[in-house]
Amino acid sequence: MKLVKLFSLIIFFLVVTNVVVANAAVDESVAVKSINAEIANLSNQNIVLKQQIAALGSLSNIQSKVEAMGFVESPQIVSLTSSSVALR
Amino acid sequence: MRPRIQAFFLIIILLLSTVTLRLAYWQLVRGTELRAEARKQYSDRDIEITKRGEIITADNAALVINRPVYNLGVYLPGFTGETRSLPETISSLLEYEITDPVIATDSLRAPLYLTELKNAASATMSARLSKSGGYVTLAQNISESVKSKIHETGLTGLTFDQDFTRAYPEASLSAHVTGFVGRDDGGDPLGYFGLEGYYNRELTSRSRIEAQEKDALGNPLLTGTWELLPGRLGRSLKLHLDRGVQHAVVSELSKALERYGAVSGEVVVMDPKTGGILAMAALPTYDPSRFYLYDSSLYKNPSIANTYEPGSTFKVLVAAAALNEGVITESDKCDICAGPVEIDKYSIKTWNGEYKKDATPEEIIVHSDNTGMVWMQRKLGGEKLVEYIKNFGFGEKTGIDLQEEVASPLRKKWGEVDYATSSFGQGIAVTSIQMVRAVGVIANGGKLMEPHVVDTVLGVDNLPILPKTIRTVISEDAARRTTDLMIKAVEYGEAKWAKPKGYTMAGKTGTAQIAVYGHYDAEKTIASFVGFAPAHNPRFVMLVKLREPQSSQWGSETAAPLWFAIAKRLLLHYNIPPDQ
Repeated sequence: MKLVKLFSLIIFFLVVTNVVVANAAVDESVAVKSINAEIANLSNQNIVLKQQIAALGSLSNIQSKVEAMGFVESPQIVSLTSSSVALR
Repeated sequence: MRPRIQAFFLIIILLLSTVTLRLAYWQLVRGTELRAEARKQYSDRDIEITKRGEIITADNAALVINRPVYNLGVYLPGFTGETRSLPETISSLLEYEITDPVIATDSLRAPLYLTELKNAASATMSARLSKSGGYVTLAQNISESVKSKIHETGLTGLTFDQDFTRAYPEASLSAHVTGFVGRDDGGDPLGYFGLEGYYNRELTSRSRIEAQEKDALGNPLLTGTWELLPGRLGRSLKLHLDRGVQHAVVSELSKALERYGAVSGEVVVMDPKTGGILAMAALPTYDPSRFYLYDSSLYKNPSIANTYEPGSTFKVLVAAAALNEGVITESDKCDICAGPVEIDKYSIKTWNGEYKKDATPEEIIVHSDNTGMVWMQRKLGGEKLVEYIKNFGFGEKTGIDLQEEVASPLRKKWGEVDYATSSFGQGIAVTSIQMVRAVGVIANGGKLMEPHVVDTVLGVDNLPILPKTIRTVISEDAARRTTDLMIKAVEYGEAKWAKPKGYTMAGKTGTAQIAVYGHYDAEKTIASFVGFAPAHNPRFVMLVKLREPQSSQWGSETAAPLWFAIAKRLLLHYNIPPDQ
């Protein structure tokens, strides 16, 4: 009789545990889904931002902006040597 | 009573047997199929398209990256909006491109053409919606901004399947180097030409597939089964190519084409010590993101896929061979340079009809004397000349890591006139990359390097591509003495007026006639200049080629000024001070 009671108790405990764990897993799964969506969203934003940075930082883009601001290429480059710099 | 009970019992047995057989049918015969069907209902497969590898320059600038695009679809049973107005709504939000420049620049035709494109897209969507009651694809390759605009409409039931397409922040700056990505027969991305073609396997990614049991709301069942086929990101390529150098090269080449009226032009810049390609450009070029709008003849990189006769630029290699063999010294005098050299029925003349008796090797190179080169070749001997031509890497592929490299085989039978003409670069077909590599031997103390565009293949483990010395062609002493001849060619040659002051540079001009239908066209030339700087510790070796320049046919008046203009910018870029 004691053995029957013990088994009944174990079965009851397992059933309760199962319900609690399954319930918790459902809650966790909602969080997992949300985190996965967030990861996908952020990685996508990173790709888009990387593309925008690359486009804005491209030399052709920079050149056109610099020219629009009135900068010009130096027609002459002067190299300094020790004799052309005041030494004192 | 008993028979009736027996009959009833028999009926029960029969009915139970039928049920048992039916259950056996469902479980044993159709079991696998039904289990799969059931799995489909509660299991979900997420396929994540992974990105193809990127291509970045030596200065960590993006040359080729990925841009997310979306395939827009609608699942009609889940769509709550008005199906009839859907095509009109979507088509008004899509972006349209006018590919014909004539229409694009016509302010009257352009708006009409855009309306036509919009109406065509709307009609296609309507036709698809009328044919299917399930899932319908509405538009392909829509951008992130269009996706956002569609989201803002609040329409439910629309799906956006992500994919990636190539983006080129520097546009066509290095189209001939990178190549482009098209599709194979199965519709999968495939690299064509250049790096995309050569390194397609490394760049290709593998999609990540995750199968997981999910509940009715789509939440994952953490206690259920989970299978994962891991994806693999494509490996990226880090190049020797420097964005600033490439930009300077393209900018100067573009100006030169306009200034000299040349049909096309090429520039190859290589680090002679490593074989790393620092810049490689050819004009006209194409836009790799819209490659399908251009003639396919533009796809090939002419620097590795086209051959030409190098003309006088080849002379420095023959001089190097003769100095290395010790058959000439700087003080020797040409004893056949007083007039044209007759070989069989041919007469070898100088380019300007002027002859200098007793010319020294320096004078022969400085004045680009063809008769003097025949003298050097005769001193060297025909077989030795061919041996050196092979050792300098002609007749074989250089092994550059670009897809479409060709190499013209050397002739099998050599006559005396063939030896003679080859000594001044006629009757021999080479590619630009072969020529740069061969002159790189002189700049690199006699060692022939394998040229490489890629420095490192980036991935989980980075794979550096180490410099590879193919062979030693000439001694360091011969390389130094040939360099001195090339310095003199720059200082006192026909192109001396274009040389920037303050720097010691080594180079040689070349003007080769173009062979058309078996004979040379007197009007059409390929003007070239090859050299390196600074001469005594070269940072780069560079070849410049202009095809059919109109302002002057001579390399000294077209290719040489271009070479010096680029060299000036590169020396500044590399912060190399003047040495004179």
